[in-house]
Amino acid sequence: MPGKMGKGKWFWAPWAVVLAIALLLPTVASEYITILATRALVFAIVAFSLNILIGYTGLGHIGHGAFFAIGGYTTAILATRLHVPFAVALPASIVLTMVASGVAALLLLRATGLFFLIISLAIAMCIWGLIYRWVSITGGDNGIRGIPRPDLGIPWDLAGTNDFYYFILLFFVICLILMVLIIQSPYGKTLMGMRDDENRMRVLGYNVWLHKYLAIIIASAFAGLAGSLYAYSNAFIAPNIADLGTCMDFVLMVIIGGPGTLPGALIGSIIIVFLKELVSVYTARWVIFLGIAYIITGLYAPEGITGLWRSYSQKKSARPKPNVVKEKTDGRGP
Amino acid sequence: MAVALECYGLTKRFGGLEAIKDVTLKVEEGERRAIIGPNGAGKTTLFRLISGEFSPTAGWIRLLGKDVTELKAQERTQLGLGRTFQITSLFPTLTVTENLLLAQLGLQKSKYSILKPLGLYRKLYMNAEEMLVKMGLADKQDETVKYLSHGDQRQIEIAMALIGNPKVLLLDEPAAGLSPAESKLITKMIKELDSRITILVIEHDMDIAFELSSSITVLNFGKIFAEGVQGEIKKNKGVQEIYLGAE
Amino acid sequence: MPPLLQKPKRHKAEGEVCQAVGTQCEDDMNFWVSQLFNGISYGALLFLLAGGLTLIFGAMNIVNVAHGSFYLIGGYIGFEVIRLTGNFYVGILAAGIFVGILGLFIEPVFLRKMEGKEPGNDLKQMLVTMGIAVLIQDSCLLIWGGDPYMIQTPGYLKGAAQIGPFFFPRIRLFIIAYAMLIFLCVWWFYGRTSIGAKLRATVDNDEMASGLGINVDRIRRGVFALGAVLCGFGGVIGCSFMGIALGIEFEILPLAFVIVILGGTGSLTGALVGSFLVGITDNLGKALFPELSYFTLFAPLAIILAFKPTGLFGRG
Repeated sequence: MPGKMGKGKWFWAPWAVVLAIALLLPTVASEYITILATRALVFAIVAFSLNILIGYTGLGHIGHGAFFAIGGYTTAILATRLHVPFAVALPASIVLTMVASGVAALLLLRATGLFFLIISLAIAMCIWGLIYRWVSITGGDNGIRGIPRPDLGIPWDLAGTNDFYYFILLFFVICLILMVLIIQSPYGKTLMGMRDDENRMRVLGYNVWLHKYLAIIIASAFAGLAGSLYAYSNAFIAPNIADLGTCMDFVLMVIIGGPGTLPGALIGSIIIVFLKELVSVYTARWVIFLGIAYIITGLYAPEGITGLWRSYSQKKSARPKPNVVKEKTDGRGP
Repeated sequence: MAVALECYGLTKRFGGLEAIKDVTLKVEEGERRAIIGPNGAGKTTLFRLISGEFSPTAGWIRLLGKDVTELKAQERTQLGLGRTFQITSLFPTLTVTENLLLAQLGLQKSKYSILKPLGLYRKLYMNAEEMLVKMGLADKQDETVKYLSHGDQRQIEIAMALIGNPKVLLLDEPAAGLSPAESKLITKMIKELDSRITILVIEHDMDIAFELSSSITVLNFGKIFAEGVQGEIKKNKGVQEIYLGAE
Repeated sequence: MPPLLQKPKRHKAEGEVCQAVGTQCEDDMNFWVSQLFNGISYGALLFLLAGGLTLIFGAMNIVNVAHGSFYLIGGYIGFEVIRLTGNFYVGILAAGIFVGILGLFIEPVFLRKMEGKEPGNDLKQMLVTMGIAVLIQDSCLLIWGGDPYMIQTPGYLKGAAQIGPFFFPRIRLFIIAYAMLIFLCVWWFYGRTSIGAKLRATVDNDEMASGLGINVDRIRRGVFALGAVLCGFGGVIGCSFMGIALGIEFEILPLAFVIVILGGTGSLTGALVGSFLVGITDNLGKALFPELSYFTLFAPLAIILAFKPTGLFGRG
């Protein structure tokens, strides 16, 4: 909960339970479920990073998912063509994604509101288009196959499903801790301030543009990392991970879980990954369920599942009605 | 006596509308100046020009001897400018304490710190608590701001500007929407501020405006209509007319 | 991928004039003329999407991810109707009507709640319209399968017309003419009729328009439907020279968005100019640097936005 100074033991408790479940999962679940869980964890890292932008900073950067693809393709190309080891490919992917994002953000941050969304979308589509058409480097529609599992140089063979799951889980936990630190840090708080009232932040002395810029780059670092992990976990990569559908799926994960909340991104990722896979087992029309999920979330649950839970528990404790005096305007005009 | 704030020939045009026309102002250090005038006279626009939220069409502004005309809002704040808003501009989803923490962080390098939890910055919390105690709002420190009463919110609004220890303070209708009792509290608080702080107050309530200030600037239609000490302005027939005319 | 450019397997002989514009010959002049022409005709097609989109943005501030889907389903409906009736124009009309009705239904049911300028509405709109786009795509998959289709144009639109030493495919000439006609119609409607005046008022300031007694809800519904109709037309026409297949709606959508940004939201002229600019840039890019062609699309966007963030004809 925002506002609590420091972390009481109750903050970590539910996460400890989640971690316990995660650690035990491969022993009780089938290989198929473990593979899905691995994918959910990778996507959760992206969703967490997007949540920093949408939920905590108030930036509707829907094209963020495309940077996940940049990380993935960098790793895929380095690992298959140049046989670069994991220890180099991973950081290289992160750095390249951050650089690309840094350049894109220079253009993106010239816009606000609706324009920001549209330009973010256009940037993502340009990245997709680049991946799709730059056939000599990316393989175009055929994608890149045969990405080997990382060879860590230690006696831990990652070829097995369970072993690789724990490998990914390790990264997920590291990312989670980093993101908690960022959100709890002074800088994290400034992002929330900007979400609430950008103009006030300026008047309080903040370089709002710079804070946003850094947020985008930090988020893309995580996306690049996740992309790299995805390439290793999937052994195959194709342009569809940069397309509009994937980008919007990440947005849906953030929103359906609850934007601006910590567990929201994980919840959202699990829901979408499992929804897509499990429903498709029963019907070829699983896409309709996805479409309905989009519509219902947008219309009825824009604060996600955690939001619904929160308003339910608030109704029970009968909070007073909020007293927000100001209307947000553009700030233009006398 | 040093000059804290100075504007010369300040003009702001929005398309065809001239909101501020050729305003020249000189406020000395420690002075308490009230900016009054009928609705639409351009008082808040003037504040926005001084704070840097708007950039002027013409004219220059000097803050504490430094030309700030080209500087952005955040840079002027770093020089010692503070501002409150007529329409409460707090951070509604954050708690009172968090609001005051942000108000302090704006002036510090630690605002870029990403790996050290905010909770470890004890000094910031202590400053916030001290300010809240002074205002009698200590019990509200963990309340989310959007649930506070309007009167409490107005007080926090001023606290946000004060906690940065500004040298020049712009108060835009500090008593807006407050009950008489709450207004008295706010007025008392402002009067007790450090005498070295230069204060400009926009106020609609004449009594409060006169109580808080020693000198007055009257704006009308974006231009300075009259300027002087309290006694002169009170007796000025023209000033009374522009208010009556605007009713 | 739309087969906009094919390399011939032979080099042209001395003195031979390049046939069938759209092939890459060694004749430089022909190359540039054909590329320019292809770009203009592609731009004309894009205008059918972007024109409606810009008005929708202007009047409703809505991010409609399903805009491309109207194009898609318009193409399929047109294909079916032409197959049944054999008449190209009936097909275009039917597609327009069908998609227009779809739009009339979608707006009040799904989008009405989110049309205010509150923060957060943009994301909601994107989610809901994304859901609609996904549903439309799956319905098309269910009904027509995943294979691409091509509409047969009437005989007189096949082949190429010769103007001077150059050959221009008739269907592309038709597209340009059609788009100009639509532009003039909508422009006349927008600028000269009383409904158009109400629309302009809504685009300019919807609160004031509503205060003046204009039924803003009905205007919005109408604009949305109009945008859909234009997409429907575009879908049929595009299908007749580019073919139609699932996924095209998401390929063409970002181009439409880029045009709206370039031209300025709410500006019909901006959409027209932007469409030609994007059409030409995209075509030249594909011809000159096929692998980096999306970058060449992006460059003018970046440059123009750097200097005028509200677009060429946008109001700041």
